[in-house]
Amino acid sequence: MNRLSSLVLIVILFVNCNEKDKEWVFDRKIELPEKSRPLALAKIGEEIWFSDPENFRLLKVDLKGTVLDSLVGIKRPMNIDTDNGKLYVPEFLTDTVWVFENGNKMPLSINAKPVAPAALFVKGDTLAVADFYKHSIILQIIGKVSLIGKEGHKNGDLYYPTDVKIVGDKMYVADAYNNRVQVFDLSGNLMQVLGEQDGLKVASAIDLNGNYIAATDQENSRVLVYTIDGSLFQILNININYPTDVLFDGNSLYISNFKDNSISIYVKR
Amino acid sequence: MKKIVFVLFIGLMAIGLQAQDTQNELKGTLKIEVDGLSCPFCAYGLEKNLIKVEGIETIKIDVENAFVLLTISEGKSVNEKTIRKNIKDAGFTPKAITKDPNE
Repeated sequence: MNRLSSLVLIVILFVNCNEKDKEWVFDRKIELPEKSRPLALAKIGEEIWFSDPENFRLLKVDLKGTVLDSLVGIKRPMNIDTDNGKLYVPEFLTDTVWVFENGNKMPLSINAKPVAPAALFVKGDTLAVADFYKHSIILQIIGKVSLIGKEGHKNGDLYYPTDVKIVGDKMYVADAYNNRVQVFDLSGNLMQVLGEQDGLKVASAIDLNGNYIAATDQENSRVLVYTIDGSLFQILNININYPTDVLFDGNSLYISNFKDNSISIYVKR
Repeated sequence: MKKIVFVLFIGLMAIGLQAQDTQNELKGTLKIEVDGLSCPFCAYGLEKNLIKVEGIETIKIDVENAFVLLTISEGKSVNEKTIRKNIKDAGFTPKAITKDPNE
């Protein structure tokens, strides 16, 4: 019986290791309507919203690229997010964050006004805004605001941040023009720096799942995938053209190709 | 005598500077080449900065070809220095500013 238990344990361990070591491979592209420039992605169910700031709109498409819905007249919608069925859209030119829900549009109340909201993260009572020109992150937790980061190039400083994500008690920031990803605790203490040794050139977007952190390497048309402890796991560069956003969803990784009217899908195989 | 010469000199300098400023008053539609404009965050950041300038009616950012098309309101003008300063404030180095050939 002991032998059998050991064998089962070894098999489980082997399967787990094997699962973790599987690489991301290019699966297919979703071709988008002509004249779109997909900047950022958000997925609700099997439908994808993407911001198209060049055309002052957001489009919703299915996984074949068929347009299902649109939101127009938004003055440069940037890095969007969803939470609890709501779609959050930072409007870069007016410094407003809009919330779309069931066909209604309302401004999001933030207790500190951003100067240039490039991205936001929302989950429940927690809200983070990447403020492009303030070189900082506005973090609001249950109404209490703190500013994380300041303009500069030293560790802990930010230089044109363009994306932010929070997982547990860690905040991940795409420190775009310092060409790195920085990880802070929610009090603003620096915990980790990623990408500085990997030739990142404009780290414009990030996303995380349980095991990996993906960061766009915008100017090199690559996506770098790190393990959660910060080790470089894989460099993706097939069918990626000027990536401006990444989005994990289950076993898939979606990448917006800003200069190619498309979204590339990678899967773990 | 020295005082008169000095006052005349200062006066001429002031007129010269004013004339130089007047020469750089820009009107109509302008094409401005800007390095590094391919990044959308930066391009729309530049737009944010230029939209504040009084007299600019429309701004078209061409991310693909890295230039900005500015249209100045009819009957108004904008000083070249102001445009260049706002482009610099947005983190860019402005290159040639020319009249839009399609105007």
